[in-house]
Amino acid sequence: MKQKNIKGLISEYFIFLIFIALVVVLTCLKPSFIAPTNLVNILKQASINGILAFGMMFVIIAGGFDMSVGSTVAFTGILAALLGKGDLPLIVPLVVAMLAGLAVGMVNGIGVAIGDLPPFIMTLGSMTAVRGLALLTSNGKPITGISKEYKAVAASSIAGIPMLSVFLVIVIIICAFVLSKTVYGRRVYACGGNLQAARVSGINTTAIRISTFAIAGLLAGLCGFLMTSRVTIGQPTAAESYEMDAITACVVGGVSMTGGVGKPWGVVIGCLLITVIANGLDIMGVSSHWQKIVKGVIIVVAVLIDVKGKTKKN
Amino acid sequence: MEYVLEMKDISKTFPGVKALDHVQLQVKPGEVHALMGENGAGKSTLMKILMGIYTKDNGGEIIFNGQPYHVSNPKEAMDHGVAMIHQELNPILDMSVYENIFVGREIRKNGLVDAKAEIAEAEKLIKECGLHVSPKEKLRNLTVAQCQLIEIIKAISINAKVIVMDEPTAAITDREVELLFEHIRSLTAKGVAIIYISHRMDEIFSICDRVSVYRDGQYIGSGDTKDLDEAQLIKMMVGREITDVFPKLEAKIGDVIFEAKNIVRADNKVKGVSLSVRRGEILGIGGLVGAGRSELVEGIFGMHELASGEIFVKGKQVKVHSPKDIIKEGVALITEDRKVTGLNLSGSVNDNIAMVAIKKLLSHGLYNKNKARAASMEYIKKLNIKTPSGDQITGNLSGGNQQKIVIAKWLLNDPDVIILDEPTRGIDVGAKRDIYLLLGKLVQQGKAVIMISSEIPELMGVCDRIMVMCEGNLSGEVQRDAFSQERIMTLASAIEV
Amino acid sequence: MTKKRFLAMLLTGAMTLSLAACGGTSTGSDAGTDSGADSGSDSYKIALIQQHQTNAFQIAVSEAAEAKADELGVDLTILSADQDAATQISQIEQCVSEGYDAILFEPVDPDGLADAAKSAADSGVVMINIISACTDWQNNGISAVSYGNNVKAGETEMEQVAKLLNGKGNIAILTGPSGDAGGLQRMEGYENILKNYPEIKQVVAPADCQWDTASAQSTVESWLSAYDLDAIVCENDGMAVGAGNAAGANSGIVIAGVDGTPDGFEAIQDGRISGTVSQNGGAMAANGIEAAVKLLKGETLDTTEIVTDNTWIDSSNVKDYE
Repeated sequence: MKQKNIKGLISEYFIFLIFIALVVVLTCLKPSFIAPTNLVNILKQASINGILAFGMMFVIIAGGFDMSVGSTVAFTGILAALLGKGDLPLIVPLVVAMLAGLAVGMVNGIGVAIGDLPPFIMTLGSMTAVRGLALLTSNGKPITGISKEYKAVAASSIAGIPMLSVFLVIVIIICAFVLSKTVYGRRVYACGGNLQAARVSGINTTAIRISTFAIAGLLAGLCGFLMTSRVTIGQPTAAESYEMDAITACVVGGVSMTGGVGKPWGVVIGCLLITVIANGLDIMGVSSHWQKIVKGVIIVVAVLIDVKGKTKKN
Repeated sequence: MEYVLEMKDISKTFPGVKALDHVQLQVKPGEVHALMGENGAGKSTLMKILMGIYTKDNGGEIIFNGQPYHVSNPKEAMDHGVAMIHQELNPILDMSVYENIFVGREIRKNGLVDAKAEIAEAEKLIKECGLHVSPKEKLRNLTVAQCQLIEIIKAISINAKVIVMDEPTAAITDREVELLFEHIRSLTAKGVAIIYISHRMDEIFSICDRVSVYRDGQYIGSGDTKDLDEAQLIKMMVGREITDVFPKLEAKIGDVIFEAKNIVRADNKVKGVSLSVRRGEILGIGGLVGAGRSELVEGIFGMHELASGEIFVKGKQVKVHSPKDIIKEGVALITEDRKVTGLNLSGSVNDNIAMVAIKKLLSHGLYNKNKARAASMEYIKKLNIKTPSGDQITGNLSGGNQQKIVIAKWLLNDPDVIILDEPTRGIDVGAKRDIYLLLGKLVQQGKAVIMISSEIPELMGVCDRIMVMCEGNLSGEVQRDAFSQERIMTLASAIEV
Repeated sequence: MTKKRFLAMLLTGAMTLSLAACGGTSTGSDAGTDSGADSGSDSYKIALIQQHQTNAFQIAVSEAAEAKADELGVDLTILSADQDAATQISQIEQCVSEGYDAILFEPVDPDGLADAAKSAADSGVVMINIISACTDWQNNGISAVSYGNNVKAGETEMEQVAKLLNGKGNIAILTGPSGDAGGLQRMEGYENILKNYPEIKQVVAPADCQWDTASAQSTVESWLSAYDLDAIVCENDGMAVGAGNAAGANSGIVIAGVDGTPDGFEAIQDGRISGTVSQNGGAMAANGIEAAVKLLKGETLDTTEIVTDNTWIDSSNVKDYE
């Protein structure tokens, strides 16, 4: 019994162990990895993917899947850039970007939960269409000339902690609280765990499923706002395949693609792990080709552990 | 108040089908009331109306606790005190016991989930039921029977006055059935009424007080179980004598045509089973769900890796690495779940029938639609498949006709040995009869048939010999002249210690 | 049934939107509806097939092509191949069957488009490459090419960087997607120059940042915490802007790009990057159209290889280009 528990603990925290091991190895190979400036880099680099991953987490836990968040980041980033050029207070581009993201998410959610479309198809469609919207609103060109104040959002820091990470931490705290403490959070897990069971238990599964896509869209809108501030321009081609990184962070962090399973701390580790791999390999000057291989292997191994860890019930 | 629940004059029409035609149900407080009838008789539809999953047609009424009862979803039904334990169990495997008990009705404190209160309450309920699990345990780690009990606890926890149990024993062992019955008795002692749906006669007579019978969407009658016997019930259910239900054609039994020796599956779900079947013979395989019956035939058919075992077709040993190897030798397997492994539901009837024997339908190496259509027409007639045309989309046909299409598709390949896994599950009485007759005709032609079924009367009616499996082993074999329901049930649970 | 119809509607919607976005502008008649018979007798039908239309460089190409077409009075249709060689091949075939007189295109793949170009030329259509050329273009039916020279652009960029470093220092390179022809040619230009400066050293392997600003920004942030870099040489402006963001304005690190796009100009003005090599895609398109019209009129070209010169743009002359 006790042995089984230890085994269970190891499989549950396996990804954390991998993460620690990776940090140790990287530090030994390149001591500058652990230098404060680089740790700040890692926090900055993890932030946008982290926020996206938390939105994605809601969708995946509820049994869905969202391919459109990368395009949504680009589209909302363009909107934020257009509105961030003049003297408007920064709250305007922020709110507009988040509302636009919310709208995309609602459309996805309605298509999946009411239109009964497979999430993959629905969000593949919106991924393409929203990318088109981004190109259309920007006329295919990067939007330059955003205000100094706007640029400062991502560039500034509070007590040495980059502002981007402050946003991430706020998102993490809210999401973790909602998922673990609220009735809504419990029901998100129930929908993904067994949609039929949730329905016969009297849960409004349609509303829950739509809301998870809406959350993913809302957070993608926030990322669009931050992304434009970080790169100082609005680019219609930005955030290409960011949805894949967000999904990877979730899956690596133990969120099951079949729904119903996943812990916030796992996603935090998942997205730190991805960032650390890219950052560490950059620092060591390893070619980007190798980075792709390493990332791919880690995804497959993580999912393998996820699948094997679940003793299939007969 | 004599009745806790009265459903009067209830009808339900689906597009093209009258699923319920002015039926009724009266349930007294504290009784176990059996609902009986063949599949498609309308029991499930009636219960889904009770739970608010379906809306009844206009007219008719439901009286619960002396009050008119209108619900539009399961939550409202539960709020009234009506709960249902579904046939396909609905646990959320990755959630803990307490989360499952309170899903949809979470205990709140300041608007948030009060997990502590839920755990404490769950602990109390679990103890009352004599179950020994931690409320924090994930359902994935429980047995099917434990999950079943959790569902019952869930029903109790909402203070249900009526609990519907749909086939609650389908997946659990005899000992667990006893445990379940104890719980049912303690519930009825407190005045809770149980509506019990089951096909198992022995259970009906041992636990139920009264029974209502339905057939083809009509209410047939009700009575006290102590005044009824099995034959009377079956007659009420099927509307004719049992010999008509299972027609048996005479066939000459010949040489052994198919033999499997000492089949052990790599995943150990089958632990050394041998079987053989002769020309002209229908061999039945009985046992409980999970006894390894489907696993055995799927192993033989090359769908799963075997740790050991030899397979002989017409005296010749066949090395089976994949289904293709054994299909070539003239063996066909008609799988259990026709929607997943048997049919392309969005394809036409013709396309489906042509799927296996496609090589016969070629001309100059290309698929010949006319040949396929002709072949398909032949089988539509032969098997009495009710479809407007061969171009009809298979998904639009009834379960019985779909099943016939699966069989047709294999017959077109002209197999000598036909293995069928639960061929009559979920199809109506008429279609069942057609299929039994078809099996009889096939063995008359000198073919051999192996049929898996969970319905013992069906096996006894159709087969020449029944082998019974239990927990991956062969627990015994019964010849037709020695058939008895008790004998087979005993063998099915034999290895239980 | 309804589910399927809904799906069809959705996909159509998605496609319409993306087509509207990617199809760009088309002056004159629309491809697909016109047989060519109704256009004026001396108005040539010319198609321009761009690799894609998703950055400022390509938008400049379409705008210049339209202006030139108006000036010469030809009927111009602009299509986008969306970075897909197969799409571009079918677009060429489509244009041939719709009776276009000349097709200008930037090959998505220099080898993959050669056969399609050849068979189009065999059916009498004047084929011209712009921006980059098909492999062995003279023998694959291409009548003329109008391009900048990516190798030369790379040489200009590295030469300027070397000058700013006084011939000595640690550098790093950010590249476009591995295997991209334009990127490889710029890299060739870098190498040609680096041979002359033994004291300029690459201290890390070139990083593939997919032409992307955010990705370049992350990579350079990481580099700067581990390496002492004097210059970062980027294969396009988008990545140079990312590098500039990571280093900050007036960081003392030389950062250079190629393309001459608005985001690059903005970064030059506020000191985040040092300079860029303008490729002037617009001139390449305009020259291409001019050559096509000449050939259609039966005139001969002075040269079939029209090279547009590149220019180094830094804070001293950036105002002239905005």
